[in-house]
Amino acid sequence: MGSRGRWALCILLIGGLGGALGPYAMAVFHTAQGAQALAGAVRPVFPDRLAPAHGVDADRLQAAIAHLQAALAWDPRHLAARRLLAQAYAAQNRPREALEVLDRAAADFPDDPMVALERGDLYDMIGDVEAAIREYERGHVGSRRVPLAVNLLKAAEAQVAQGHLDQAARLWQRALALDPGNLAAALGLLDFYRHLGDADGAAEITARLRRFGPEAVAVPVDLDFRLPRAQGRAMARLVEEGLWDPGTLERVVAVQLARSSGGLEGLMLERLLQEVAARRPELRPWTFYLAELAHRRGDLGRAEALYRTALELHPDLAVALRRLGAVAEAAGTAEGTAAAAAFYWRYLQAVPEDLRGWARWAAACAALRARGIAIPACAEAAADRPAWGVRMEDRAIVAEVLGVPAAAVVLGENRVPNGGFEAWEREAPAGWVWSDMSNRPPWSPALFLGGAETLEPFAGTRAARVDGLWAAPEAGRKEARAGFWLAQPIPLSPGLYVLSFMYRARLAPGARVGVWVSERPEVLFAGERWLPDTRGAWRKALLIARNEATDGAVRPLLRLWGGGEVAFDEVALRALQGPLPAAPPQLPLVVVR
Amino acid sequence: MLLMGLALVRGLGYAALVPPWQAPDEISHFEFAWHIAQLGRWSGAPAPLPAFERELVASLYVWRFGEWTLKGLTGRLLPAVMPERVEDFLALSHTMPGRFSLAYVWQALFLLPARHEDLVTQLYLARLSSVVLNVLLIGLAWRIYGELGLPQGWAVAATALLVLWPQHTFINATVNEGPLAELAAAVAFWGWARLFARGLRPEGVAAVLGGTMLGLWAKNTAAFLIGWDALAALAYGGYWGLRGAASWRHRWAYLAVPTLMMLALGALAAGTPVGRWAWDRLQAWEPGKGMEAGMLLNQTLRWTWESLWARFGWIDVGAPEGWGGMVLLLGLLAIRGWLFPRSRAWSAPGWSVGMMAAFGMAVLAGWLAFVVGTPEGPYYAQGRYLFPAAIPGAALLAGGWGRWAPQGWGEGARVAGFIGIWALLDAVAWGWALLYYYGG
Repeated sequence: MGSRGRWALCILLIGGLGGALGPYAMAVFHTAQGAQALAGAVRPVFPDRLAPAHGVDADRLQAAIAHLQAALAWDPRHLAARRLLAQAYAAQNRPREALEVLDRAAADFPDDPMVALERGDLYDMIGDVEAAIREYERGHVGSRRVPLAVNLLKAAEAQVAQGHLDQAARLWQRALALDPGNLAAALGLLDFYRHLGDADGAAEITARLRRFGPEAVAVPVDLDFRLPRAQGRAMARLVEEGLWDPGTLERVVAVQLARSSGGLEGLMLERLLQEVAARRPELRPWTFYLAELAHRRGDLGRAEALYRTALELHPDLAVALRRLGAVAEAAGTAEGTAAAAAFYWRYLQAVPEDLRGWARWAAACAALRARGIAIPACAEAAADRPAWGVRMEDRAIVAEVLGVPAAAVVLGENRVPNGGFEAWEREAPAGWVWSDMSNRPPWSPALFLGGAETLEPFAGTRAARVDGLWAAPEAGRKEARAGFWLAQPIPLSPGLYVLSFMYRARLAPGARVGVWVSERPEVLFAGERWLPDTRGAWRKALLIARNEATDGAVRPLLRLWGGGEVAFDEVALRALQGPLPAAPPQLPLVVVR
Repeated sequence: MLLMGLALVRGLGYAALVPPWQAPDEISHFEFAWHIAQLGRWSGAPAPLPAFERELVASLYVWRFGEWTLKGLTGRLLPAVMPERVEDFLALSHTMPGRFSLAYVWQALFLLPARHEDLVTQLYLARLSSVVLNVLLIGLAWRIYGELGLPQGWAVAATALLVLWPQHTFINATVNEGPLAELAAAVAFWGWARLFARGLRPEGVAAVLGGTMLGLWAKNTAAFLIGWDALAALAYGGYWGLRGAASWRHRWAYLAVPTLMMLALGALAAGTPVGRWAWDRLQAWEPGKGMEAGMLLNQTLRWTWESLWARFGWIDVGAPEGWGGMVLLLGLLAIRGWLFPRSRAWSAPGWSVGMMAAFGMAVLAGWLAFVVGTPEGPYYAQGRYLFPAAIPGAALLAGGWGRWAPQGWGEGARVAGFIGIWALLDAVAWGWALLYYYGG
């Protein structure tokens, strides 16, 4: 073949290749242009779902649609272009047009779960419950657990309205399999079993509702408000039915606030709280909880307004004064600090045992004094050695208990690493482990959750928090308990030691707060030492004990036995050094101030 | 050109017909490339983007990953409810934290214009990037054989073997870092061949340095180049410096240049991912450590041998019974040809044969040291890790055949016979794999 022949062949090859691939290349080009325009045109509500979008830039969206339509003109089977075009129509709240676009994709790619799931979203937008369920299930559910569960609940409601309780029960069962924490579905099943007169089935569901798992407390991280609303309605009904007592509801809400206030979860939680508040306003000071949610989310203006409303509705709600003090203090201005001092002072008149309240009040007053501002609420703050301060000092407490001057008490270095719980690794404070003795033999069933308390730690930014949502003591099994346990033992030489920490507790009837350090009586003490309920106030616990073993080592374990809420902070273990003039009394000594 | 064209056609065929995600660790390799293409940068230890993971998992459902692979790996199918993360059902292979390879950058270049396409389209483009590297490799192999002074028939047969080698084509038509590492090793090998054949040449030095550095930024299988380069430099400098060069000035040059090359490589290699990995492995090396997992050496060698020639998918789809025996027979014939030649038709300079053998041994030794000396070694009982030695290996196999073939055979019969046998073997192995995937 000559040179010309080669050139001709090359040109022919390139031309043929271009002719064959050209339409696809054009489709790829327009798809890229359309995708970029779409990304700039809309702010999707859901990261993974087709739905009307926020902040739509109509011109750019129109340009995106034009590019995507052009892509499909070049290559009608183009999957990416079809899905993007459907997304664009859905963003404009045009689900039927979007469905038309995806119908072809579903015909070309019948096994593609993403196409099925997106069609499910569109049917969900239209309100075609049956089709939405069918498509979500055809798409293997994936990230659509929440909308599928919601549609299953809706379908069940429709069946109930038609008197087909058995059909509804199947739907509730499917919802429950998908979302084991779905209280609404479980309640629906309970109704069904009651209707049938099936005592065993009803008992099983009742037990499940009473002994719920952590999934029932978790707030779904999803921007679909329907599920938290259904959950909120179910929570209110659980109290109405007597399956939960108001204390359980309070503990569940407290945990949800502590764990799920941020981001999307917080928005969902707000809907949930509003739903419960609307149905059972008398159960709790719901305004206070909504205020706490705003507070935790950093919306201080809203938090202040809601705390004030809560206080107007419930004048004896002293904790609202403390929170108002915290909100005012966070402003950082002289006026804010003065307001904070005044709120704290009013709070302390009602709850004088709360050492954190005293500490915050003193700090606010000191800040005002430094600015040369005097207010009546701070009149007593200038005392050199105030009584509340003495209640917090280890040396002063030891001196008082042993009957010696404070100067004679010498305490060694704190031996507890991360005793302030400031550093966390995943769900546990660094250097500590979560200890949960419940459910498996020999311990009784219970649900405990541990985590960081960030709203009102005693000091710093975090405390360690333990929540006991429910506990069901069983004969022949040990009491359930859980808490945080120091990961590494602290070796001790013989001598006297002081273990101290701040704690705050709000306990269910029969619950207790315990401290454990070792299983050997000669190493400080064996077994648990009990601390009283503080009804939400931060108080100081101090234990004096002796180590008589040369090979002694301790691992402090701070925990909750039974239902309630407890937080710990500022844990310290120090050697009590120096010659003490008086022989210590019977040890170990437990002091709570 | 013809063989390169054939390599392109075959590579495209393999890339198109092997179902998506049906190659070892293809999910993870693609994930790296995809993230680079999307983010425009290396994201370090990748925290996969949720949108990517959702699309990926959905694609695994479409392409029967549960039936073809997951069941074999874990004994389970994909869950009925589609998880949102790969690690929810496949702990074995998801991300390889902190691992960087220039191969991912190369693949990302192919993804860039199509980064809004569906994942499978992008996967095919990433596979295309491997096919392109393989075509370049075939072209380079031809050059190397020329540089080594192989007769044309031998060079054609060896290059054709590379083209028709089922496992080689399969691996080099899927998404992984192997093709780039192999190409890099081939560049370094070409450089040495050039240096040995023609004396000190800048392009030879540049190829050795460039190929080695490229390999050390590509994949751990190129780690052997550090040792190989050192030995080759020693041999090269020693021979030419002490004996071969014409004048003392030349002798000093022959001593100085390899020494400088080694110093430069040593300094540069320490900063590469593969260099650091090799150093860590070397420090932790313990003879027999790899066998503690319970895998026997003969098992390791058998699996490696089988997967050197034809094991598709996640190295779980083998060739039909007896196929491996045919390859073994060809290997034995080649050995016989080298030991007891019946023909000298395909003869090459002694240094070039020695160099090919030494290069192959270096690759083998590096792999074997890793397999027996590190705890994770037995997991690497896969022939693809020996592919950096594919070019000299193919030449030695073809050369053995040429020497085994009776003197009376003409050049055409010698070449055509060899190529014909391999074409047949390839058709059988590949047909078997296609039956597995598409046989219903």
